[in-house]
Amino acid sequence: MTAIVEVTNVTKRYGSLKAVNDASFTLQENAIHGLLGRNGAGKTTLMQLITGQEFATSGQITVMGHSPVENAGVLHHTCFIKESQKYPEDFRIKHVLKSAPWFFPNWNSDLGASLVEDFRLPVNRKIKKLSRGQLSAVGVIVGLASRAPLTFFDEPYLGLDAVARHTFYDRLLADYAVHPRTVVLSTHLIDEVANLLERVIVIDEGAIIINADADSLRASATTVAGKREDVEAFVTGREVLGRESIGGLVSATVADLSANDRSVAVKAGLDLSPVSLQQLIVRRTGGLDVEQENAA
Amino acid sequence: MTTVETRPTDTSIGVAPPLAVRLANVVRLHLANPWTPIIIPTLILAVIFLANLAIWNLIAYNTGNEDLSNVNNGGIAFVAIYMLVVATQTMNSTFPFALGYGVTRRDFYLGSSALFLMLSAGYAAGITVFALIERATSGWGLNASFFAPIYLGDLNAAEFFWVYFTLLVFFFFLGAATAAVYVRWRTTGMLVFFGGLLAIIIASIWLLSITDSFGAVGQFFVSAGLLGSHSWSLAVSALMAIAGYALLRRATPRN
Repeated sequence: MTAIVEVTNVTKRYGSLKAVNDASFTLQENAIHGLLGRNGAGKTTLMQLITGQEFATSGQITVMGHSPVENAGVLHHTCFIKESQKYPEDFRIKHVLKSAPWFFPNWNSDLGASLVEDFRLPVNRKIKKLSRGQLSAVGVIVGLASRAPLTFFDEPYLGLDAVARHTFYDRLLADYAVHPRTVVLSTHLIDEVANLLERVIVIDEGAIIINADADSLRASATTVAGKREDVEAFVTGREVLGRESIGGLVSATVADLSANDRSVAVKAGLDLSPVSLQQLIVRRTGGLDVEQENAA
Repeated sequence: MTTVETRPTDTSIGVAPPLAVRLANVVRLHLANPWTPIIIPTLILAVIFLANLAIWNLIAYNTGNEDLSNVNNGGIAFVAIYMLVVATQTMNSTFPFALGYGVTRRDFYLGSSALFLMLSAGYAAGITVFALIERATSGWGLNASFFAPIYLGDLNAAEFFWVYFTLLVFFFFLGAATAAVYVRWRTTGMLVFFGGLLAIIIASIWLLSITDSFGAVGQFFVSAGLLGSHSWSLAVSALMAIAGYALLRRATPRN
């Protein structure tokens, strides 16, 4: 895989706040990336920086070797409809569908039309009169039907019901399979999208804390469950990411188990299970141990 | 992940369509919903005119006076104010949308400016046609004036067009530059801008007073004449256009 976007030591300050703090990572060509993090972690700012909508305070961003800032050659191939996107005054949904093909060379009208049906959107309604979910659906339709080589979805699920969210995930996967492109999906509904993601980038308080292949990330931690004394004996001296306990039973999330470690654990009568992406990220971004919460 | 050699339909990142095509697309974006920039102002202008026509006839019928040459009318000024609002909305809400579509600030501003010039020319041409009709029909048979107000005097068609064109260009870029201050610095920017503007106006009046130069200013407009003054306004419009671009090229879309 080749890098399509390279972000090198990028910092974005707003006054004293570092919205993005010395971030360095790459986006891989033709892969679906999850940009995960808590509210206010810097997800939207990061995407604005990559699409030239924001100016970095320091550091360098390149897309296929070109700076995206005021570069039509790059921006013509990107699509970024923000979660809080503003639309022109008096625009109706049909005006969005009408104008999008002028800006996205790969725009597919049939896909756009079928998505409008999937999301049951009233094309003659003014954008200003749409519900939160309908507004999100418009952004999703533009993002999918544009088939832009570099597409960003900024918390695209806001206000969408479960059916509509799954429509989005299904359509994204189906279209991506036929028309591979680089997708960045910013979200905090991690479990819902976990199966879509090939790459995971986690940002916390402006800093990139995880940038990994989704599969290797899942394999990087294991939940070990069993009797308290067995678990404690096993985890001593290991990196424990989190711990939950009910009565005499404990389940601990442990980093980097080797095959040998695993067989030791199984012999000690412990249950091993893969950790979910969400659990892993919650642990790494300041989530509390359940034991501590209960004690409080 | 398997490394299948599949490629997106278009991997020509770094290559953009020619500038003319990009600017034309920005113009089309503004006209995607023609109601705001074209249909509504035309309808409103038609309604204002027809209402005036009805009132003139009412006056003529009731007073028996068929010469309304002393009735002045500023209805046409509505178009200029409306275009100021269009320019403001364009900068405030179409700008962030265009950026989401992958348009650069430069292309957006150049395309919008092209649209402003086109709309100014279009409206100026339309008003000129009606001004000529007004003159040919002796002020709609009542010596009334709407499209060719008295103070415009005996202009020919080209001069009518020039007066309206420069007026509309001025209001478009006044709206664009002011809105660009808002897009760049939000409410703080507006407060500082209007505060600064007020200070400059007061300082200018003060300066003109103590140097006893009001006469010279008046003399400038008298010697430039109506057409000359309108031509000079283009210089001011150009300065506002440049200021608008300088502001917008470092602006970021906010919520």
